[in-house]
Amino acid sequence: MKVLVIVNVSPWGSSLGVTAWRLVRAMLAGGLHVAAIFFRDEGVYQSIPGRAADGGTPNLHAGWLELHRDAGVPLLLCSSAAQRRLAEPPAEGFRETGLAEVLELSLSCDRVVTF
Amino acid sequence: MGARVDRRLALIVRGLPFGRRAPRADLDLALAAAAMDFDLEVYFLGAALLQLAAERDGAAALLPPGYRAWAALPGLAEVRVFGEREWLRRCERRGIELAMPVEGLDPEQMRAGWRRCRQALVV
Repeated sequence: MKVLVIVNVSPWGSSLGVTAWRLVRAMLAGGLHVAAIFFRDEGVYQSIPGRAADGGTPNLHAGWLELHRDAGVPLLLCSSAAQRRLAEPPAEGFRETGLAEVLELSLSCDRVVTF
Repeated sequence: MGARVDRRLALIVRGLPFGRRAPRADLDLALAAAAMDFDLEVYFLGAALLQLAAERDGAAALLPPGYRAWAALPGLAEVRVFGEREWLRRCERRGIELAMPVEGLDPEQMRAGWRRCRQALVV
């Protein structure tokens, strides 16, 4: 099964980012194909590393990059959301993209999961 | 026939009007899908229907315009727009004019509509 994951939430504004990350890890461990993770709206803040860690909860920025590095999951940022919110181009591993690419991608997927 | 069903997309809109500073974020997704010949169905949940209130203007609160652009959607593609029947009644009672035609559904009918679509995106 091929799945597209959409993340609308910021890393610290909600616990849903952690839930999304855990779900993606579980899906990959279960043999599912995660076509991409699309960070939209406040979700683009997931591409920014914080300067301090917090015990007991994962460093999401590093976690997303680990999924990209180890499983090749594309980390896509909504370009208009990123350009409004981020002063710098995204860090390596993340890539800006337009809505058309994501909509096309959704057509090739069996499921779309939104957080 | 089969290809048409395959491109059916439900866009489920939860955001309240002026709830954030980028009012076109949801609309842009709808416009992109319509431009790409998706068979688009837009579902406004609860008070999200007020995004379509034609007379709203956030300028006094220094919020950008944008919601009224929903009215451009039917001109771009054949789109069906749904709201909860109860919220349509509320708008009617309060004299709130909507920027485009909206079909009223009960919650169960809405869920059935989502299930008929190949994909559903929640925004």
